[in-house]
Amino acid sequence: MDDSKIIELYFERDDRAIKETQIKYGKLCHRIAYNILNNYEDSEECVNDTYVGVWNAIPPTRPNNFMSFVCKITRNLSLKRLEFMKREKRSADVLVSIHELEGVLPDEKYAPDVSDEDIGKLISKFLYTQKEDVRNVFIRRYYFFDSIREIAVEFSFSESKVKNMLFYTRNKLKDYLIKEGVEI
Amino acid sequence: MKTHRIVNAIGHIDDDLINSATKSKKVAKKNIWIKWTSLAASFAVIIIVAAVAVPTLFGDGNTTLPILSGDNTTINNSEITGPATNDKTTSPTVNQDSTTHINNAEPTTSGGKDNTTLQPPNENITQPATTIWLSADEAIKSAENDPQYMGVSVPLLIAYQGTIYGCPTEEYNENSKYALLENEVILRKNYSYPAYQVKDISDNVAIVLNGRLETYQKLFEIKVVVNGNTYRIVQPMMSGIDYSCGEIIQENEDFTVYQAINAQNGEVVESEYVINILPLLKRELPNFFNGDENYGDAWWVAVPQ
Repeated sequence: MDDSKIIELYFERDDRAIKETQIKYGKLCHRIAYNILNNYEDSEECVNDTYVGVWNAIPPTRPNNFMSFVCKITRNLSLKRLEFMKREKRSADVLVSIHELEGVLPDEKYAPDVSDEDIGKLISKFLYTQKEDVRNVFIRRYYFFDSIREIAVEFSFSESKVKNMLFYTRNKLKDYLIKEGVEI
Repeated sequence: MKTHRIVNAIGHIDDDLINSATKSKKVAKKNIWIKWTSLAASFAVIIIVAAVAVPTLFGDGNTTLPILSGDNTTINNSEITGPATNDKTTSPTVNQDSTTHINNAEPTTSGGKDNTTLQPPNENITQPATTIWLSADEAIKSAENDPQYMGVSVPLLIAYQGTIYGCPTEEYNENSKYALLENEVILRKNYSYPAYQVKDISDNVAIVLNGRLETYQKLFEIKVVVNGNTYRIVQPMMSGIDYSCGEIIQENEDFTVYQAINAQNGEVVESEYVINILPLLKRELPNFFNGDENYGDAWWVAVPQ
């Protein structure tokens, strides 16, 4: 079913909206949640919470891009749950991904007046200047938390090439943010 | 907290960038397999033309080629795949008896073990459900209406009808054609994907993932015999998600067979087994698993044949 039709179902408060969302984006949501939580049951719960979240958000929200809207909700819920579950259940992949960015993105104490949203916009602006495969690899790694190996297989690159691409992109992003006045 | 900020900031990137990453295209590599297949096909045509033309021009004109004389052995043992045509007198057809074909194959491993049958890479085991051949775009489009095919990690190995296929490529040319196969490829319990046969490349199976057609080459067939019953591998085992391992049932130099345990309720799943084929992979595909002893793609689920 077309995304706009699914959104209409939400506006009509029709239960089929959730079912259609599940059919269309259930696997994608599950993958995001599992990448973060590394646990089947927790992922399932997060995905179910996502449907509730979407149901509560639409209406009044009418997302322009339904897929990324759903992805964002899953991602946020999964990260919240990860925080809740504390260290012992944290997914190594997520921690490694985040650790890779620690030297690139600013700490709150160094850039207190720059909001997360502003940094997100700057990252978007930066990524648009990069080659398509470079930015896609970056997003796969740091938004979807895919492993290096998964990315390598998906893009037909060697793992070392993926690592190199990420390394250079991180460095370029750091330079870009500094140039834009964000203190790292 | 810095971690919190990092994930939040990345979470605010543009929707279009997220969409683009989900639908990103692979960098296509040169298709060596198609190149060699084409070369072999061209060579075969030259041989056949020469075999027909030379006796006609210089011989007594009564010579009959074995392939045209009803010699079924010649036809069955040849690697011949193509759009189904029932005219066996003029052109070869897709092998109808896939089981016989598999059993007739010579194992490539040493030792001739009972439990494992490794296939040469040019065996045809698949029969299209229809003879409707689709272009790559058409095959992709037919799956596009169901975006469950989006956002799925591309596996290195898949199982189709008890045979392991591997090394996914998106290597096809514009003229490649695909026909829907009877059975689906299962990537996880309850997650199955329509499989396609690739025209003229009979040992390949293609599935649509993330809006792309992923083509896998045949590696080997694995049959497991437990208590006299034959089982075949049907899907990868994702540890702790759908299945867990129970007691070891059988062990040989190729693989280890474990009881299949339902990961959700901890109960033994009757008539199903978990198989670890790491020794087989290490021997047959030494560069494939990169020395990882816990290589995830070594774990499979087998069901009765």
